[in-house]
Amino acid sequence: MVKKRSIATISIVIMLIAFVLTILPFLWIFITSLKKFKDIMSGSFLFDPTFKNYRSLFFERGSDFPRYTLNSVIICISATFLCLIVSSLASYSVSRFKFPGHLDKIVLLWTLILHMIHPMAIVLPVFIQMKTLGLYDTHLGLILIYATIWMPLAIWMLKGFIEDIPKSLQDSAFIDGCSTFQVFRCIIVPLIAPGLAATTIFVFIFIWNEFIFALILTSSVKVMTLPPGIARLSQQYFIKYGEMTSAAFFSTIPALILVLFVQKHIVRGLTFGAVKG
Amino acid sequence: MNDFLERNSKYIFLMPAIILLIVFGFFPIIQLLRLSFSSFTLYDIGEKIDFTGFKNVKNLMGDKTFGQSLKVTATFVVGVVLVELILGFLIALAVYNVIKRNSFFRTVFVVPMMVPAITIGMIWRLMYNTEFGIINSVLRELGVISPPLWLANPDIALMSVMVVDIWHWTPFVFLLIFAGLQSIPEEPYEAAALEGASDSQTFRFITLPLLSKTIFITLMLRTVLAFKAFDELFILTSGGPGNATEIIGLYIYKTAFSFGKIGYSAFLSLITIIIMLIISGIFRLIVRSTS
Repeated sequence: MVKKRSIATISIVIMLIAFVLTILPFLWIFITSLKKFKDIMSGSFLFDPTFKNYRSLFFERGSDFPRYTLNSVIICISATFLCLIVSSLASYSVSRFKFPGHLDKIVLLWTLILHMIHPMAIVLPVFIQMKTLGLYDTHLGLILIYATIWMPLAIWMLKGFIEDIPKSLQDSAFIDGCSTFQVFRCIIVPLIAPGLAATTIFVFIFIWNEFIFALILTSSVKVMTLPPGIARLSQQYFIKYGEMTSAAFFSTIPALILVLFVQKHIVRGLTFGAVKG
Repeated sequence: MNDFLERNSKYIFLMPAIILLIVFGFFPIIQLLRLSFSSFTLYDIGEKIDFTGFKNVKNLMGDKTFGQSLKVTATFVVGVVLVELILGFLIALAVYNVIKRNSFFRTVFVVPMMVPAITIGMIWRLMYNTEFGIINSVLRELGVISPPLWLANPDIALMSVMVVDIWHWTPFVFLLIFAGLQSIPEEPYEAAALEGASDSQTFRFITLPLLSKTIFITLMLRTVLAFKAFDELFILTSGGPGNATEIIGLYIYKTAFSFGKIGYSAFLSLITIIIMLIISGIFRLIVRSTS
């Protein structure tokens, strides 16, 4: 009995330590972002809070931050949209139909390989490709490459959800005379709606967070997204720690909000559809 | 026309994906192979890719920095994966012991994984800041006279950077193992309790074996991911001081965009892919032999 109680105590202690260590960096960044410069440097715990850093970040003339945010929003929404449409169509056909020459298996294998490769290996030739195609430093270029890069994740996640639907539903629809597209639109999509939503959120978050491709395939403020924008800020702003912490905290907001919506399928999303959780 | 569309519907559904995969997936890989055996530089863009045979192999042989980068990468990957596996496992057990359902705690604990990696790097760089960063501030309060230069000291920079990755990805291990624990059925435990098994016996002979597949998948996924580390290190140290934290991704980036040697860095990427394939292959062999 004593042993059981001490294991329970140790468990709770471990849990609390992990909890505190997890939120501490976020808390510190948030608090620091509300401090004036002199308060930041003095490291004092008592201070007058101010939103000056955020105002400077968003409203000061010459601040690129609003533009970075806008670019992220445009590119992430478009790329997610494109990725999900292409992936749901592909995922349905690969889950439910047989292809000659194992085309479906080849596509699936190819998506796995793409996931394993170091992003640097892909971004190098894509960099040259985009420059040649005139897509370098454009929204469209990033949208296309992002939609492609996250296709593996979307296809594998959606495949799991589609396979959960009993085949008999689909078969009876075909017997009733529905076309493939009608089956897709009227049966599959409504039934995988929660899974579709979760997949959409995951793809969105991963694209929002993406750094390497955005860094290398954009150069002007007109196109650059938040992640490389933040890296650039840290070089430009040098010791403007207030603005840097505000930028950092702001970029975590989508994650903080969206994480609440993906709890049910989070294991599936983060293991790439490999584990159902 | 409608008949044609319907008969070939499965191909039509797959076609957009195939087009994207070929144009932005397959084609770049072919280009990568061609670039790997060329001496293409940043200034050559727009021109044809030349073929220089095995010149890049010779370059590799004399490249001590690459060897150093491999060493840093190996230390990094092995170090973080091991620590994350142990910590994540411990935390999963602890949480499962306290509350078996998905809870507020799990939601909070998962947040580091959803936040941009570059932001995590930025946050920790500020925390490691020698003057006002929270770590050294606390140390000073505790009486430490000269707190360490976490990112500027070549001896501890790699360790500091690894701590960031551990903070970032331990939740991943926790999540998977916790899910694994949740999926273990009740019967073995009931049987063991009836037989009078002790806690440690239950753990060793029931919990661990049933979790082994989950642990292995976690190990495999984490290792592949750890190799690709880039964002945090880019903003934390950019490979420095010296080459102390220059993992393979950073070295390839510098070779391509600081030195302009795109051909050679393509070759290095190729080597990295081959290494990754070998490691994945080993993992899959182990899976096959145990099932």
